[in-house]
Amino acid sequence: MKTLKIYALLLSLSFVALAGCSSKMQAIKQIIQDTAISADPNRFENYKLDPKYQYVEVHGPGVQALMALGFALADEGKPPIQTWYGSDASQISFQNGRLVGFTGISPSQRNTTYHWSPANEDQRVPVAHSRSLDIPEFQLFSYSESLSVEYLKRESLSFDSVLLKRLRNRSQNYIWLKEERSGVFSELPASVYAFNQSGLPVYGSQCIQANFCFEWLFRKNQ
Amino acid sequence: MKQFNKSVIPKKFWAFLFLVSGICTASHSFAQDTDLNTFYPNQGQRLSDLMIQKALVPGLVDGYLPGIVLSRKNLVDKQTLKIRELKTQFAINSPTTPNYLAVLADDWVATGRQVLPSYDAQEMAAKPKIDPILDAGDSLFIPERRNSILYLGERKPCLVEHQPLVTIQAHLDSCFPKPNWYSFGQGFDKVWLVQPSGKIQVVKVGFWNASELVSPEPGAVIWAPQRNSSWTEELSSQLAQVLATQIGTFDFHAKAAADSETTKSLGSPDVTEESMASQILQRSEAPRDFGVRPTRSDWGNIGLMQTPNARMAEEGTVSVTASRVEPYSRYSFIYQPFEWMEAGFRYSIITNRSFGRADAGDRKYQDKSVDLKLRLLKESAYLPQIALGFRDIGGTGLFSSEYLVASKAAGEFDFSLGVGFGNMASGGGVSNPFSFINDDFRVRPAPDVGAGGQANSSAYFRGDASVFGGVEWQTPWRDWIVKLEYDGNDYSNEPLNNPQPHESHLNYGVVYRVNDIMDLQVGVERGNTFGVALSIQENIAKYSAPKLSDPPSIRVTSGKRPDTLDWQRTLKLIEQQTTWNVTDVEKRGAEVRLNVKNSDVTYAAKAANKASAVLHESLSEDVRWFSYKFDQRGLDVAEHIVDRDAYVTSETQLVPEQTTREPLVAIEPVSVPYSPVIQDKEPWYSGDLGLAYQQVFGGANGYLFEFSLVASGELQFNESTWLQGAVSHVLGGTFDNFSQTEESRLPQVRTNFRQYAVASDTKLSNLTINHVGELSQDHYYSLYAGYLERMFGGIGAEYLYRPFGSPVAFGIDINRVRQRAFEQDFNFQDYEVTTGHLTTYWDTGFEDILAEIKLGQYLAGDKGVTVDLSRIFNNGVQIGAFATKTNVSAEDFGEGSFDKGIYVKIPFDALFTSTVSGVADFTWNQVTRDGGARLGRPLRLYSQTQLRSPRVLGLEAYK
Repeated sequence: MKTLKIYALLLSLSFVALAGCSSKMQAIKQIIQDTAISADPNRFENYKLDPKYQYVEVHGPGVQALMALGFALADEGKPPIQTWYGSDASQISFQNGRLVGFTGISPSQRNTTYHWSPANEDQRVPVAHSRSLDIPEFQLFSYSESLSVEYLKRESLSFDSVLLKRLRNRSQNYIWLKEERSGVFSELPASVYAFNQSGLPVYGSQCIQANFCFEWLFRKNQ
Repeated sequence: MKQFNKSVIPKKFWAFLFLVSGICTASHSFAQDTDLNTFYPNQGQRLSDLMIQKALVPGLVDGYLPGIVLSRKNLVDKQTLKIRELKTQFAINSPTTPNYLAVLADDWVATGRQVLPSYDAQEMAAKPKIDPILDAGDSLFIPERRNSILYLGERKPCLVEHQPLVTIQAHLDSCFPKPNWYSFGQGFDKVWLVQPSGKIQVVKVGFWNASELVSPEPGAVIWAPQRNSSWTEELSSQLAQVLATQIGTFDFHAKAAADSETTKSLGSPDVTEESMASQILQRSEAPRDFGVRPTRSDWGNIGLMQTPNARMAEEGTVSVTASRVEPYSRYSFIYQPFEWMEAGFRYSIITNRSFGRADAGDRKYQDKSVDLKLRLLKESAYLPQIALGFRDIGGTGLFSSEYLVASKAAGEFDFSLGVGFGNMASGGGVSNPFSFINDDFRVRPAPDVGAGGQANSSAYFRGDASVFGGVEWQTPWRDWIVKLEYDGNDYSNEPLNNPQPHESHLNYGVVYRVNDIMDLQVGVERGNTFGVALSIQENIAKYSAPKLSDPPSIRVTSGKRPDTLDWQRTLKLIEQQTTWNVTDVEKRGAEVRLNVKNSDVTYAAKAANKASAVLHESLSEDVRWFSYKFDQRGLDVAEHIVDRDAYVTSETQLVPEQTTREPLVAIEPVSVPYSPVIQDKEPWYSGDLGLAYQQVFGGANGYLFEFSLVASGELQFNESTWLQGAVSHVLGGTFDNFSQTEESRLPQVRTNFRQYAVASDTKLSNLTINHVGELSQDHYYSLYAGYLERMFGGIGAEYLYRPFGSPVAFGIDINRVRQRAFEQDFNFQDYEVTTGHLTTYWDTGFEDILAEIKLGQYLAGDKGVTVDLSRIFNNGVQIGAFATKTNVSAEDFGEGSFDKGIYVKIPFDALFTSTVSGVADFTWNQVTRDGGARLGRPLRLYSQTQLRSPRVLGLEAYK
């Protein structure tokens, strides 16, 4: 009996020495790591980013992504549409920091066209007064809504979301904007945007439904 | 249409460096547009490139981008033929073809439209597989946005204004009203919806079958044949395919308007902005159908509370249900291997009766049982779904019942009505409906269960019957379902002389769907007893895991290939991408062949694609074919050949389905000379270290488990001869409490599993020397000797005949073995036996069923047959059942009467975030006995030659 145990132990140790870790043990370890990493909302905060590219960090229901700028496409008289890509080829588009569309998540928002207010002296950042959009899941097509905009003081913000918390202690003096919707979606939480002093978008949030909200942070403009 | 601004500002980034730069450098010169809404590409231009140049992207374009029409020159002839075929069908079926439709069809011309998976150029730019490469004769048309939907009925068309929250059913009721509500044969069961994108959806719209909420987009065309239409499904589908090519270019709405009544506006005054807001915002997620979805009963099968209904879960579903209704606690494991069959097993604990064995302490009585339910008739507009079921057919028969049940859905209600026999009909008071056939049906014989486990078919459908049934209501709150049932059992005749107080036959309860996999049911049963059930279910046929931990896939590109090649680096990359072991590379003409040793990947086609991506990026253009020869222990079992051009086309552009050719095929390896290119040095050893888990439940000791550390290894003497072994050491668990011993009238070959489990902490699980060889093509053999499994050691041999790609194979194995010592060291006990089987393997092609039939002598010396039937899903998941009947009587066999069990095998590749070989095997034996026990052979030629299976390239991760 004792002999067997010694043989068995030797055999087992020799195989350990030969083999190292099991591929399945490694797979289990990786799935645990992947799960833990994907559950950490701040996992992108300390990523070393390539300064040659621009990034936006997007958080949504069950989604956290760091996306890189792929296109900025302009048409005469309209602000450029910026399209950002994730490593899995998912994409999200913005215009002046506002959400234009995204792929891969339902309900979707598509064909969003913003109507921008003409610039005036009071206007510190680009402001849209209305938009039309499609949400096929709700059978809404060419749905138009007007947008009312209000400048916010920093003190009035709660800084309670993952990305807003990161801006809480920043010394930069951002321009904060609240945007409320009319019509069907008027009861949804208002969108909030932050712009830097150059008028470039820093932060934004928008709800598609009551429990389906996105927020995003343009990493380079902070 | 739009002023094009040439200041397209492309930006590159790491993951799409090549792709995006390709777009940036595309030519900016393009043909002159002849129409403001029509655009023409250059030869070889990407569609995404054309659209980005023209600023045809969401947010900037004014036309209706989802309705974009891409016309391909090379599709025109094929579509002309399709239109001609359809018109011929119209002529043949002229009495049933609406006049207006025949007139419309006269104006149809082939457009060459290719349906696109996306209308978003920026999405196409990131996904070359959905981005077509265009020819100079192709064109792109952006239609105007419409706000109407056209219904094509069998008598007339109907144009309706698009309104949010108005369903297809409401449109149909308004456009084609029934003359009266009871008109038989009127109404609609399904329609063919053609969206402006050209996408075709078949939508169920009947009151009884509406199960999907699909929204027609403005501009859609819907073909709506009547319920009893003479239009076949094939003809309807053919019409829809032609409509998909016409929509967007052919002005259906204007041309049909002449035959249509005035445009209907169904915007009900009830649909106000406020009501829309409340309907939309209150939804917890995207809108879903509110039809009744199947839920589980206290017994774990699909049903109400105590009674089953005729519904079935989605095929591939596995569920675990724990329920408590005094005095019963039930744990049910139910499988859905086919859409027409539900099967499973259950442990019932009777908590006011003791186990009845001295070694069980104060443990309560346990009963094991097997259930089966078969769908006999699928529901239709006027007929219900009907199922035949058996409860407790494989155990001691305590709850043995049979039933025939019908279910009929009506909107948000699902009604069921059935007749039951046996335990579920105790005190039912309905005389047996089959007694007119034979008076014997009037009396149900007392269950002659003996040792249990027999079908006890002499009692089926006998004795008094009882009616049962009820209704399920899907409430407007999608997570809540209400149940009301009439239970035929009055609980006066419960087993073990255990009648229960009973105040009512009516049970009622509610189901809360906690999430997509978990349901919680609570209710009141018998009028006086609280009941609760928790069900967890998963569709394992849809298991797949994103490969987050795998190395990034190699992107397939087009263009010039590199001039030089580093084979060592290329092979290393292939091995990283595929987990293959490539031993050498050979060349013959325009073909490069890789020899792959002992491949054990689950998804062979995916591995071949990944390897091809590496080879395509590395090899010069003169190589036209990549081939992968699989050497399993020295046997050349299969060769997979990739047509490089077809592969690259399929990976780098969207090609119309009609013009694709298959890039990957499997063949019998060919023996022709190749020139060696490179040889990789192979290690002569390999090993693994892992955790193992064992459990025992359902016995007098209740639930017991043990974790062990397992070290396994292999030494290779040559490519076809090797030594393999495994040693395990117990890390912890509760097997120390394992006290239940078994007695047997047969040689104890398996019932002494307790002794094997507890005799030692460190065990030599197996240690064998093996050799395999090929007698001639299709004929294989193996020889092996040593400690074959934890209970037996000895020598053995196997022969297998398996033609390449054949669904049928035959094998013979013969073994002379001796029982090992309980400690699982190098010692043996006295018992010796010769065991072996003739085996037929038949991949039936019916419902993906693999059948294995074994005939031979088993470990206890008994002779008989084993039948093993399993369903193998496309993702490699296998659900099966087996039964063995030998010349041992039920009495000599002991509890269970004969050996049987159910198993589920799930490839690790479907579970883990990295590509890994192996299978998770969950096997449930009703009772471990000595009769029908098979030797656990370390080497099975059928597994070794799995790459010869006709379905090997069809296995793929669920998408």
